[in-house]
Amino acid sequence: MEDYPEELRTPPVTLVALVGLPEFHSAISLFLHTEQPPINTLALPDFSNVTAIGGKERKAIDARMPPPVGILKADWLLKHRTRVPAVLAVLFDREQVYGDPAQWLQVCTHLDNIKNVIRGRNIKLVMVIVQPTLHGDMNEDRLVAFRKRAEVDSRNCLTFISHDPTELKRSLSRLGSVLGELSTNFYREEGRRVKLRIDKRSYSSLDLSVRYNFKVAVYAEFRRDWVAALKFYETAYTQLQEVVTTPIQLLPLQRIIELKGVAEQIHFKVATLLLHSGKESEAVKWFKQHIAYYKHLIGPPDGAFMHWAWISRQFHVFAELLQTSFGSGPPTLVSNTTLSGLTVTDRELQPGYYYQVAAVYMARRRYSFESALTTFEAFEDAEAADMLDGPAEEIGPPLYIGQAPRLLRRGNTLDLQCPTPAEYLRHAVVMEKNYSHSRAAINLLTKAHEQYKLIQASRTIYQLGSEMAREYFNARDYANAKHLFDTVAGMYRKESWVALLGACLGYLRECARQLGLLKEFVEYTLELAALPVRTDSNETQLSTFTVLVGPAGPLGQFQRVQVQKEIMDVLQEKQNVLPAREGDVGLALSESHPLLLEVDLLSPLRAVLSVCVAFHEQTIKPGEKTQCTIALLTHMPLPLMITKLEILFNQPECNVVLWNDSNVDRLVDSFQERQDGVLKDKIGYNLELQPYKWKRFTIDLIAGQSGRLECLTATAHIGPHATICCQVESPATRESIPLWIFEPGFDLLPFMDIDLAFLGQKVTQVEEPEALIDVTINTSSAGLVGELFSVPISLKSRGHAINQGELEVYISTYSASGSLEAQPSSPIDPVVAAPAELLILGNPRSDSLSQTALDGDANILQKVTGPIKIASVPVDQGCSIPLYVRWFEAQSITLVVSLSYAAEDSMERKDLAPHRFWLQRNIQLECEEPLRVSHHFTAPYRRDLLLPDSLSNEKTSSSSKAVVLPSNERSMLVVTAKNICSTSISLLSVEIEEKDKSACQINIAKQASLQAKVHIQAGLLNEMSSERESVELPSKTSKGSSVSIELLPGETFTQLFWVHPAIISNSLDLGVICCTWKRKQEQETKVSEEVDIIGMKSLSLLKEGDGCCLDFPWSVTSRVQMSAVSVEETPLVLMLDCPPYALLGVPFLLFFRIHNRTRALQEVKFSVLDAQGFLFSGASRDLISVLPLSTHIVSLKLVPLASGIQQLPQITLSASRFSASFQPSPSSTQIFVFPSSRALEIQKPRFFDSSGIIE
Amino acid sequence: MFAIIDNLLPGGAAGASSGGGGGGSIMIVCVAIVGQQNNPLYLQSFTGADEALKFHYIVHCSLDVFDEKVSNPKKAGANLNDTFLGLLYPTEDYKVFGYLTNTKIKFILVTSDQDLREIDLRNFFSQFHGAYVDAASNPFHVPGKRIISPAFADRVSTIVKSFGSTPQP
Amino acid sequence: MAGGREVAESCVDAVIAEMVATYCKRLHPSKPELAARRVEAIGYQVGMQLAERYTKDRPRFADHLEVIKFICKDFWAEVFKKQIDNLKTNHRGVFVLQDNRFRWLTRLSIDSPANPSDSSPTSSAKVAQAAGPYLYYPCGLIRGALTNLGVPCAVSAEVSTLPACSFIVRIKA
Repeated sequence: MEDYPEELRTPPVTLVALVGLPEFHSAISLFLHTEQPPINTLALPDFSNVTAIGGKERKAIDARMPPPVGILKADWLLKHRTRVPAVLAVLFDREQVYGDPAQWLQVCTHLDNIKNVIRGRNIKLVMVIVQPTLHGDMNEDRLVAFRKRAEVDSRNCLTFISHDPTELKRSLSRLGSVLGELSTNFYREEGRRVKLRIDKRSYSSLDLSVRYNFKVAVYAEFRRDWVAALKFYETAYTQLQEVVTTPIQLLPLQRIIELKGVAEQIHFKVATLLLHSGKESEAVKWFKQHIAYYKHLIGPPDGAFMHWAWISRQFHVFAELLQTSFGSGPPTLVSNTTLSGLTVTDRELQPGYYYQVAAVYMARRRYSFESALTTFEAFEDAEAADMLDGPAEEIGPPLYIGQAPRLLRRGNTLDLQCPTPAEYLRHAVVMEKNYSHSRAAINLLTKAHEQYKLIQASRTIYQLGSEMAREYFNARDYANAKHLFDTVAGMYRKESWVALLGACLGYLRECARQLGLLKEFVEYTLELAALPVRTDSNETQLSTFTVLVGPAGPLGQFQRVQVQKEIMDVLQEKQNVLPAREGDVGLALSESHPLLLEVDLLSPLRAVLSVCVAFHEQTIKPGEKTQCTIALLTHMPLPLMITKLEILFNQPECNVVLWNDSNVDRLVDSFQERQDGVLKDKIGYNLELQPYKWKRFTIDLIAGQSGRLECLTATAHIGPHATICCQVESPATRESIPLWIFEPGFDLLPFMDIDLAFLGQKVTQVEEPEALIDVTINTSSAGLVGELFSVPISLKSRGHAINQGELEVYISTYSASGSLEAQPSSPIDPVVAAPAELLILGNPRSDSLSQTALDGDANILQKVTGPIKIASVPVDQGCSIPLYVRWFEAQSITLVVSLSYAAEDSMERKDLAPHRFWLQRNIQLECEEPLRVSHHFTAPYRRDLLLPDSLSNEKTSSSSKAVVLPSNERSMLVVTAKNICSTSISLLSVEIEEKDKSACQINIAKQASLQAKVHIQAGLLNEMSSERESVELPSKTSKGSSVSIELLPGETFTQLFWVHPAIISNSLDLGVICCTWKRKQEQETKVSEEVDIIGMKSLSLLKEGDGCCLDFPWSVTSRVQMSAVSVEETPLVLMLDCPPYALLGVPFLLFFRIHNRTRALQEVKFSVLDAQGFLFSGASRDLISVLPLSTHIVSLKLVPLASGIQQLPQITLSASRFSASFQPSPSSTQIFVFPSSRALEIQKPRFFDSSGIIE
Repeated sequence: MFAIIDNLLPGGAAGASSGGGGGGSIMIVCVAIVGQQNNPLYLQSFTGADEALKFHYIVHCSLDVFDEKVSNPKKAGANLNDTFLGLLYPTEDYKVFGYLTNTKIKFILVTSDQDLREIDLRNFFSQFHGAYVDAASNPFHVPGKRIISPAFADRVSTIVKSFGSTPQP
Repeated sequence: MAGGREVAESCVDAVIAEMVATYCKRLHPSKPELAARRVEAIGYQVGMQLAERYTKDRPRFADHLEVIKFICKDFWAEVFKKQIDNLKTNHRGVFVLQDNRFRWLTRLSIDSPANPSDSSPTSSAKVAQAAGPYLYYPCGLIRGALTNLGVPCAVSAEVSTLPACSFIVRIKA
């Protein structure tokens, strides 16, 4: 549209002329221009210029016109807009009009000249008398004379006030309205005049009627009568089509061009008017007719390109018209679906549509020009000059619209001037040569693209894209072309329009070749070869390279085969890609330029190779053989030969390489690959994939690591340096191959086994390997409170070598729910809450077995806190950790031992951290009290003391009372230790730790403990012996005997002590009983254990320092606090004196010695009750008085009447001073009576063995 | 129908779908069926084979108009849900007519640029649709796949040949 | 299918029974879900094809509800010679199609003949368990038809007392 002349593009504007008083012209013309409607002014400063607007004398209406040489004068429109005014306004100063006669005369001459000039064409005349102000005398008759002279009526003769602003404005507007009105009249009259010619049909040829109609329309436009204008333009247009009488083929080229030129202009006018009046669909219909009619006016083939240029221009211009008339927004116009030939679809209201078609015709223009060019260069002589290309003075512009330029030098009649067809064509060709079709087309397409974007017509946009790309390709702009084609191909892949995609790929690989992109070239080629086209397009077309189809040629089975052969040769390096340009070698694979194609699940190359993998089991055991099946599929038309196939898993040791049996030579390097230990090779597969058929291999795997085992990729080696790395899929979730999914009969299951085919997975789960270590906690029996209970934990390796192992040991008590609530022994909270503590024996510094064994101070007991480090233990060896439990109370606990270690196995995978195994053992440990230690006091044998307080207390009979001991008297302490546990204990010593010796001496009755072990039922024989001895030998120290005595379960050990309180006190703390004991067991086992102690602990614990270093580690001392006793004076002591035994019938003496320990006389009343075992003589009752610190003896003579244990006669004392009486305990007043002395002889030895202690 | 699931191959899979209805009515230059995913199910052109690709482009672009008509049916006017969509758009040389089924299958007819009777078009499309339904009901045909049955091709070509021969109502 | 050839209903019943037997008993005795999937797939394809045929020359559906109604009326009538007895929906994409006498269950008998009157849980459970395999196919049929008509959905079936049966259609958003 830009190349149209201004006067054509814009509606015509009224033209008026001004003459005289040039100083006002600018102001007036400015005003008129802003008038509504605007008026252009032609300013003629001086009256001499007036002739310019003059024209030749008019011919009479009915004068016969000669047949014209053209239809529309080229300059006619311009002339009427710039040179032929409708009105001429003549300005005179009032001085001139009303001035002296001389001036008046001049005015008259001016007027005459003007009238002469404008008589030719009846230009209206307006007289303007300019005067500065309103008032001023005016000469009436002079004015009349002036009008008469000018032949204008008063309306058209107005005075113009120049110096009064308001008046100036008024007079300007007056002038404007007058001019406008007159010009309208002028154009109406002109139009009517021309119309008269039409009506009179006073023209020789239709050309003229076209011209006349055109003119009438233009005049109508001048006076803004659009309807009329449209009407006449339309008639002009229709008449133009009647102009052509002779069959179009016979018309000379230039004539056709002219016709089309005229038609173009008229149609443009029509379309513009229609669109301006908002009749889009009308305009579209007109346009369609326009094209429909002229599309076939191609004319001679040589000039066809001009025709296509014309058509393309029509579309282009109309598109621009539409676009401008719609502005940006698309039209809201309901398309009527009536099927009249002039249906207007929504599409046809889109400017984009016309841009696109214009582009199409632009392309057509290029093709026909190219063909024309070839013929032209073939026949024409190249150096023949282009006659029409010369300086302006030689080459005149065409006189008539659509005609050729004129050769002025040839003469001055038109037919001489017009060039010969040959010259014309040559000129056209030369012109066309330096016209860039591609750029023009691309511009059009971009415009179309913008338009279509507004309505989101994506596919159309993509088609535009491919057209654009083709243009770029044509313009050898391969980078742009490739970019565009790539995006376009994406769309066609998505909607799987194979044919279109094929064309794109054909171009793409050509672009890649031209750009030297080998990888892309291969990819495009492979994709092309794998397109689902199985119908064979007949080979005849292979040669035909139509632009649409593209360089790859039409798609068909045959082409696919060709393409694959070609690319395979390239991949196998049998040949190079044919070079883009002459002389260079073309692309080729090589060592330095290997090719790796990655095929993921989105890649279009999945059709080339897709791999499916399914494990046969969902879960497999580590180290056990399992199977997985690999299925490969290609959609290439020819078999795809794979030299080797690498299958990679996420566990590299499972990776497998399958070798095609056909190429044995490769096996060599395969072996040295084997040395790397990365890949396992399997030889002798047939790796030739038949088209569309699944190829299946089942391979055995041994999964090393636990966790998921997934097949990742399969890499197929096609050529020495060409590989395809293909992401594998699970059959269960397999995506079918794009494009081929729509091919019937091509979805075979990848696996024969239906279950695998539907449910198979490329992932399998490898179970955790079980730890190959035995952890045994061997405990002898129940533990004893306080003892170091040895719980040796022994680790035995069954095939795993322990590496940097850690042993967590902790105690947990049973909670109510029965679940273990663990109390890990961590340094932060030492196990105080626990009923027991864990100890370990060994050197904390040392860290490994070897050191510990050598270490001297191996037997340091450490509290166990935190994990115990275990140095490496080789395979099939064991070790044991000397763990000890020490209970604080008899409560059953659970010992939790958890071992975590890293199995250090085959060296080849240092890279990944060795797997850590973890295993746990629990054991419940029972515990019981070892001993029950009890004690009580007894008075010395047959020596009774009067203890007034105790007696008095007895009266009050308060049962719970502290034991009362006499001061300065030895009384006996009996300590009993009973083994109440299930194991036998060896008692090492029983001791008393006195509170303070001054207050009270406690001496062990030494001999008593010599063979202190006696059964409970042991009688009270040989009491006196032990008693006597103990009396005789008072022990210096209170240290107990350190002889170990074994106590079987339930047995009791009793130890006697003399207690000799020195002070009087009512609560005397005697001290603590310490029983040192140990579990009865063989020393040898201990020693052996101490040897292979290992497990050690970290340094931090040593600082805590509670590692008690014991010289005798295996004995325990349990301590019992004795209850306090009260000590008091004793006034009287009764001692009973008699032989150890008696003989039946043999009399003997019995003495009661009553000793007064007070410094006062004591009156004592005594009475003896006789006993039936004896008969006695002597005082049976009396009141005696005992002197201070003296002894009174009561003697009796007894004759035993019965043998056996006999009760001696009882004596009862009562001290009157204390009013207290007492008698010795009956137990201490018994005697054994032998029937005869002989019996005594026999019995004698027996007494001494079974000597013991009375219970 | 078991056969499909077990992937028996169709009998005449290799049968060339082209060649059917070579010299049909000069009016009809191309017929096409487009599937739910806008993928071509069947496309047959009745002009020179070197032009076949052009029809692919035309048919593919016509899908845009389908979308437009379905997305804003107000322009379609009275016959709102009519399967017959009438003239989609003209190309520089042809007219493209469309027919959209309930199952979003698109039938496309490309004719040389002439005035046609709507009755003929409707008639053609319903026959075409019928042919498709029968072809698609073949148990060996998997829905959504290209139609390659030669029987279908023949039937279509006869329909094309008989185009315009419907008597006036 | 107007003018199409016809087959005896008993043949259809036999085919369906045989199909269920083939997949559930013979091919995948151990994998019921796989069997279900494959039988359903068959129904799906048939449903698609039938939808194509039965919607021929009728105006396009405006919305999902129209499609469902079509299934309940015309489609059901074509396949089962009766209409769905009751259609419920929660207006959030779930439809329940109730057929009080579902044709393909009429000839189904339970080992311990549970008279339709008692609907004790045990018997209903037994019924469901027995009828289940025979409902894969109709479910697929419905799903295929709906999907082909542009209503992507999941279809499941419930049967409590023979031969009544209800199909639950869940439209995928």
